[in-house]
Amino acid sequence: MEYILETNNLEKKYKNFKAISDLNIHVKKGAIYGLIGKNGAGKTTLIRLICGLQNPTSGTYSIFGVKNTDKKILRERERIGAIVETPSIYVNMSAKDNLLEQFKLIGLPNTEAIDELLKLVGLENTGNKKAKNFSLGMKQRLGIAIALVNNPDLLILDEPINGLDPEGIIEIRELILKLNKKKKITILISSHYLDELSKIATDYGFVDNGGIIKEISSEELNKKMEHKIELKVTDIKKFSKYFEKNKIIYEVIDDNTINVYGKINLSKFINDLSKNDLVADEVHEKEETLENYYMNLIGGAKND
Amino acid sequence: MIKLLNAGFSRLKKDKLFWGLTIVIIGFALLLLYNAYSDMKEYNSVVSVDGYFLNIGALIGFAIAILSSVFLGNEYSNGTLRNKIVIGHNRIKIYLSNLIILSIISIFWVLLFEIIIACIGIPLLGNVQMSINTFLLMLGIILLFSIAYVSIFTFIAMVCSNKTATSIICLVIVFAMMGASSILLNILTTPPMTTEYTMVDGQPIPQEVPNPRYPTEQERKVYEVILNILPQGQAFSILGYESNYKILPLYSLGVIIAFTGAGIFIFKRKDLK
Repeated sequence: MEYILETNNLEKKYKNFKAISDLNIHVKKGAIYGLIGKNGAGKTTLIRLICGLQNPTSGTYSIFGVKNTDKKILRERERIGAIVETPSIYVNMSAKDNLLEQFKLIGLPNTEAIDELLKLVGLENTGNKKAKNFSLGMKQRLGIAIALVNNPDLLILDEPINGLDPEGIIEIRELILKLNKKKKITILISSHYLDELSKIATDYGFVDNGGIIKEISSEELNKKMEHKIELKVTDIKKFSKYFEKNKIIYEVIDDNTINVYGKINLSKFINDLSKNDLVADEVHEKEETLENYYMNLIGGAKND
Repeated sequence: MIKLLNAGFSRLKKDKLFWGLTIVIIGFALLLLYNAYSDMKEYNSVVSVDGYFLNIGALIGFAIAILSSVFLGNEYSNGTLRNKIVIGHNRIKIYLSNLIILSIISIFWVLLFEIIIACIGIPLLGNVQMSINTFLLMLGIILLFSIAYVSIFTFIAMVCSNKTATSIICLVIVFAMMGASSILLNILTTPPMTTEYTMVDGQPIPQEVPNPRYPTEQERKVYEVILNILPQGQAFSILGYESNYKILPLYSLGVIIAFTGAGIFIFKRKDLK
């Protein structure tokens, strides 16, 4: 598997506080990798480290296969575009001047692509209007345009829809999908808007207490989210053994709870269980959502 | 580095504050000459243009402090510093490019001031007494202490992430340097003897006695070194204090190297948000 971005037991300490600890993520080429976690979970710290804004206390990360400790990493960074927290724009300049500035920073002599970029993010009609007079959505889109100037292979977006109105959220979502599908850009996107992420992400990394507690593809997750039966049982080992033998997708939630995933006929399922001397105390049929999955995961992580 | 410089100058060209400060410097030069010309006419006196070449020292510190804190502070407050690092620009080069841009601006301002004094002041006031060698030495001193100022303010602006705090610290430093330099010059120009009056038969009799405020040889050396280290101290020194002017550029170079070295060391390790 070719990973565009990988971390290896990454750790970041601020004095005595560990913002990130033993964090491992794997971002595949062409993925839209959704980094999910509550505020303070460590998402932004991870992004700051990857972008070179801060140095890890221990552990390493690789971008396009080059380790952060290698001097060549600066070369690889030329293939990255990023928005960290807020869009980095000169507020006293127009959208065009902001892009011109980025072109000069990158050393691109041909600035013809500026109009194309402005069109791509829907800011082609802003003229000489200064960025300080832009709406939050417009600033966000300008930030993305700036991040796209170097034609990146990896785009890192930290909370890109924070504070946006519904129209702005849709615009950003469509833009991200367009960049991924048409320009083949791998995207790492952090957010705590789970519903929004579930509409675009191809892979997820769930962050809690500074570590990745689960990495899962959207395909795998969708299977789990299709349908779920929650069983309250006393002998969890016996049930697990039966599910494994019959290749039924299941997950042990705690000592008394076990979830079974997939399209299952409930009455036949209970019948099969009783034929095998398996009696559940309670049976609940549930539709799983990303939010439920996340909450269970975080709850599970806390119980560990 | 060329890319960073190119982008920096392109931003500077559109910076209203830079053009505003340039106008202030032009205005300051014209005002000085106007006042000198008015005095010459009113009192029918002879005014030498020499001293006016050196007056930029009174203003340059403020101009550099304001521009450095806002120009570099904006990089933090707008978050645009991140754009440079994300796309792989080396932190040392980012620091040095900012230092170079501001140094070139300070050189531009000093030369602009000198050109105005030369082009308008010499025909207007005449009476040039300074030799070309002395003028070049003074110009070198002014340029170097201006760059020393730049190195101090670049250090503050790159190490402190808060634009408002940077602006306040830079201005306080200029005022503090002015105050300290004035006090030091005052001490160093204290006469060794002072006149004391004693009453003899109801008549005050003047008597020359050693001045208790006159610094000892050791104190004098320390005060002179401090005065020479401070860019503003150098600006005041060349306006009247008898000193070994030729060593002043060395002090400026020392300040530039010390602050740039420390600034790069800290900025390279700084956690940016």
